[in-house]
Amino acid sequence: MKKNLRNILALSLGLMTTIAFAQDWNADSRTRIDMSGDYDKFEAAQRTTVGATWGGSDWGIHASTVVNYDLNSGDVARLAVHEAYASTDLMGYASMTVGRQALNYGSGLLIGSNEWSADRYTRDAWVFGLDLDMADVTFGYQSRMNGDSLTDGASGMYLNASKSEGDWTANLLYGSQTLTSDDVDGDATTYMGLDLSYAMMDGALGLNVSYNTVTGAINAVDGSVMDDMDMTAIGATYAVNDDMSISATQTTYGEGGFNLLGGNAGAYGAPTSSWMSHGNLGHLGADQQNLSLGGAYTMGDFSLDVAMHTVTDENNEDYERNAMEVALGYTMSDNAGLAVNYAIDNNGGDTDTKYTWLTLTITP
Amino acid sequence: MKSILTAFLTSFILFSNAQDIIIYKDGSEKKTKVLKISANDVVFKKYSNLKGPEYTESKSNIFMIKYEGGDSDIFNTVTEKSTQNQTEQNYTLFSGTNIELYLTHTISSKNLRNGDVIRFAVKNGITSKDGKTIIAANTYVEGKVVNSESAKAGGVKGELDIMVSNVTAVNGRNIPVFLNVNNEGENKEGEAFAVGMLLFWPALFMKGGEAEIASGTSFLVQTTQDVSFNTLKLSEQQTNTPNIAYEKLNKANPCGEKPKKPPTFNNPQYRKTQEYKVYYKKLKIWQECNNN
Repeated sequence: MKKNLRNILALSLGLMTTIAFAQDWNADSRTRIDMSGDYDKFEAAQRTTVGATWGGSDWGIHASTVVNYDLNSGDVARLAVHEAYASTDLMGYASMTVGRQALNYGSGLLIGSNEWSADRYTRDAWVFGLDLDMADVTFGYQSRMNGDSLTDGASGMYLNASKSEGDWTANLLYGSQTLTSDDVDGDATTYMGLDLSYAMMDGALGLNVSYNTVTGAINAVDGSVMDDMDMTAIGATYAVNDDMSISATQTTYGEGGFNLLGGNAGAYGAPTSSWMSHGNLGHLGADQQNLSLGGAYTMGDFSLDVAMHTVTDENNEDYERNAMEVALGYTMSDNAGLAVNYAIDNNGGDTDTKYTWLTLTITP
Repeated sequence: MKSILTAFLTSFILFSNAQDIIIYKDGSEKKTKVLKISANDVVFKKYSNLKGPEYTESKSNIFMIKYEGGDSDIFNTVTEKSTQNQTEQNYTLFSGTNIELYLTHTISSKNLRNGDVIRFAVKNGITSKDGKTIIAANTYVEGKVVNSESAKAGGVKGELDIMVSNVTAVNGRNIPVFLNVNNEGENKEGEAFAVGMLLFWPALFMKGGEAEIASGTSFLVQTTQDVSFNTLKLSEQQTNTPNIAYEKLNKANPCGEKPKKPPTFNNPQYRKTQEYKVYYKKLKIWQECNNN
């Protein structure tokens, strides 16, 4: 008992000293109550992230820890490293960052950090950044393991180029990765994501186009090479005034469908609904299209976001999946926000599944 | 090795600029080596022919000499002409009078080309002793880019040279002035060469810094000729009129520019991205600042 107490004291002192000597530190706490379904579900979970950063003009070190408390699972606390990386400037025009990082590029569908989840995606990566006139170029090697596993995951090289000029912004991500299962490497999968964004009418109208492909993906069930996968999303957002905007997005999936693990949307047909794992509709099946219409309204500290999704299937005229999501947010102070997220999805059938979350976010 | 290289390069640059520039009242320039300045004349040799003959030029034709070390001499200034007559009807704006200008927008060697026109404005107007406005505040003044070099690979810095040659008086008359604005970005040639050759070859593509001048930056120009005005033909103007435009320029965005929304890229978790969170925080601060 005394030994445990000593260890706790030593750890606390270490943490306090670390934060006290850090040049910057950040913390955020997210408490989410899951009330999904029709029965009286009320499951609370808290995710707390504490990070510290040290740095000079041409170097930096960042480390953050995440603690997840699943209050309905026997009060179990899970402590893990969220991010831990060091970065350094290379001759004033390049940078190198090494360590565990929450990478996010373009649409986040290929390499994303899934901020919705309690266990966000992070990657052990060696990243070089070049700030060129032509584009901001980032390239490197990344490895993402599934959970705590050291034998299952995906790793590979990638290159991301981003350019913003006047009213338009473009992002191109290209990479290849090898899936590792039971410590056995599979064949390489290559992926490409092109995202374009254009602002018109002094920024009131925003147009977005995303085109993503994956080739050489391996079927997890039988190990066969799957068809090439692709998806295209075309969207527009119009700011009616400073407080209100409306949006429409058409997403089209090719005959091979589309999915790449490690992005900001859940896989089609995955055992866990994308609403639960990623907080959104997720990827669709092959040859399916989704028309999303939405609106956002802000009134002082209140915000309301509504989106309606209508999914149809090119190969099945009778198929229609309808989903609606509503997010009501309230900014309580500069440091605290409360949000209610509600989603209802019939999954292409006759039964609606309801999801409700109450989230309190505090950022000191 | 690096120190020797740096010393060599520095010496080279210093010696390559060891010249005196004579600026004539008509705005023309001559690169020289000034030998002697007497009561009425300036004796010099042409910089392009230092072993050649000596030349003598009357001081009355010269506006200024810029020496190699950065010093300068201005001739025919206000003090030298303080004895000139002024009547109630005539006001003489003497050669060497300072006029303060400010830049109306930020400029950079990155997007300027030779011959481009830059806009300045008069910061404080000039009035005659009897309260007549000679040069009004906020009068636009055009400057011309005489040399613009954007930063290049190999650590080459950006350079910007701007010349202002006249300011317009209220009666439409052009008053000859001299202003040569020279701005240079950060030179990284040594760094790029040394690191690129010895450590990491991509450093050879490192660019130098761009030459940039922020909007609102003030400059003093000097008139190069005496210019007389018949003040009876000029309207009366209160002195010390506050320069509203200049103050507006400096107070136009006390809260800064409205933060730019990051592109959505159809990201299903757009509002949870770090970029959006940073933008939202900045937007709140900006809105709060504007509300106050």
